[in-house]
Amino acid sequence: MKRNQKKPQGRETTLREKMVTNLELPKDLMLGASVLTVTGRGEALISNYKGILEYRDSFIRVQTKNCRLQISGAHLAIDYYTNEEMKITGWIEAIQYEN
Amino acid sequence: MLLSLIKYAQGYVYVRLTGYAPERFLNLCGSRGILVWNLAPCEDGYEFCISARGFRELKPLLKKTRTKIRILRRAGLPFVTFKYRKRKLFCAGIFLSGILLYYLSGFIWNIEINGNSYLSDEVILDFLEEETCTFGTRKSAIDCAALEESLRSRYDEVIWTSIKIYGTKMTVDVQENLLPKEQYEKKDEMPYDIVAAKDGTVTEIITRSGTPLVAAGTEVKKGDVLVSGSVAISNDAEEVTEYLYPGADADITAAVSYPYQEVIPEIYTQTVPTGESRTDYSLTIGNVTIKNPFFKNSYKDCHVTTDTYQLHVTDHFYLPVWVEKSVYREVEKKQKTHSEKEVRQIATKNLENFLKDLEEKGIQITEKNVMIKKMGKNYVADGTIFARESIVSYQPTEFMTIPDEERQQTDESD
Repeated sequence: MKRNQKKPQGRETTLREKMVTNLELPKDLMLGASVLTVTGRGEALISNYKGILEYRDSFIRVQTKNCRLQISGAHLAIDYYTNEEMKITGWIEAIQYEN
Repeated sequence: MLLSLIKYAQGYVYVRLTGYAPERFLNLCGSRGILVWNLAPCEDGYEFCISARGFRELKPLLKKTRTKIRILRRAGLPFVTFKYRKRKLFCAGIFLSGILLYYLSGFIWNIEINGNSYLSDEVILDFLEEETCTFGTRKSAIDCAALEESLRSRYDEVIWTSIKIYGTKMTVDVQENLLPKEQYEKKDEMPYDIVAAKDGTVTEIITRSGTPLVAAGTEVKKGDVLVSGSVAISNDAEEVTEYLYPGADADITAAVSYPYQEVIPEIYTQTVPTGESRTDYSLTIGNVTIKNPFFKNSYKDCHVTTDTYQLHVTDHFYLPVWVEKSVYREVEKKQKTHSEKEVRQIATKNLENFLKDLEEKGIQITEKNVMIKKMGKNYVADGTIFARESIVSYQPTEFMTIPDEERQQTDESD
């Protein structure tokens, strides 16, 4: 898991990823990839995340299995969050992935 | 909507979280399955909603993350009931009013009657009262089908009824037989004679069946048989051998007369409104009427107009509460005298109305002879109206018996 995180962005695909791709298995289940659904500019739904790192009015940082996800904007609010998913509303300006 | 209702029923608190690692606290909440919603950051922490049950499980998390929590607002049913725990009567009142509403909605509070023209609403309402199915009757005590049956059998005019109960309103739909009575009464097997409905002189008679006993020009009295429903069959010797009963059917017109008299007093009282008026309100609940105690009718003579409104919640849910608005308009009584010209005008108008009524009944006016005379303090319009009208009415035919000898003779001749 740690090795995956440290790999650079344009890294080679692992055997596991190849298998999942070829067998057409759902990636969010098999690889723990997070799913981010953005509806318009006002609503985002993140599922398969690990936890909240930081949360301010202007940005929200979320830890996922492979990377960190930062949603920045204005008047951001978390409508609700559970172990599986989190709903963010507000004015979204940028979505950024960090290692 | 449903979700927020469940949240309200279970109760939730709006809290502020401050301290060393609030983010960690939030993640721990998530992993322990404690639902947090409406999360918003504030200067030194976060504010969010959490269910009352979830809030009780927070103590170890607070210790672990070295954070502090403060309740800003409580919301939900458990807190409301706690707040009003000492107001048992208030709760009981709400509960009681619900029961009362349910109990009272088990009664009939309004009756709607449709489709009646011969029978007035009052007749039907009286009938319902006799059958103890009137206002304030328990709905469960009413058997609609039996009520329909008894309404049909009581009134011959009613050929179809439908009684329905919606909410607290009973709807009575009636279909009446609009044919004149004789048209359907004559339809039975019995033969009928035509008898005179009133005195007069026969002017025209067209017989379709039966034996005519009168001719044009015959003077008849009320009850005289005009056309017999029996037909006598005679043999060559002109002896009656047999009677047949085809029943009478004829158009008979007679010249009849209507006496006319009207008295118009010379001195009459005219009521003139003075323009002064007062309005009074009263409230009726069930059988109890509450009058306005401050209202006094100080007018000597007045006309009263009363409007009644029945309160109802929906179209079908009428309450036994009426509001009455009475307007008292002061009037002045003046003694006045009619001039002869005025009297003539009034008398002519009344006579015209009388003739119009007769013509509407299908009576043909042939001549009128009405004089206006002054007798003491009154004017009297007196005279006779001559008219032509159908005087047909029916009565069962009397069965004739042929004497025994005659019958024997007929047997021999056969």
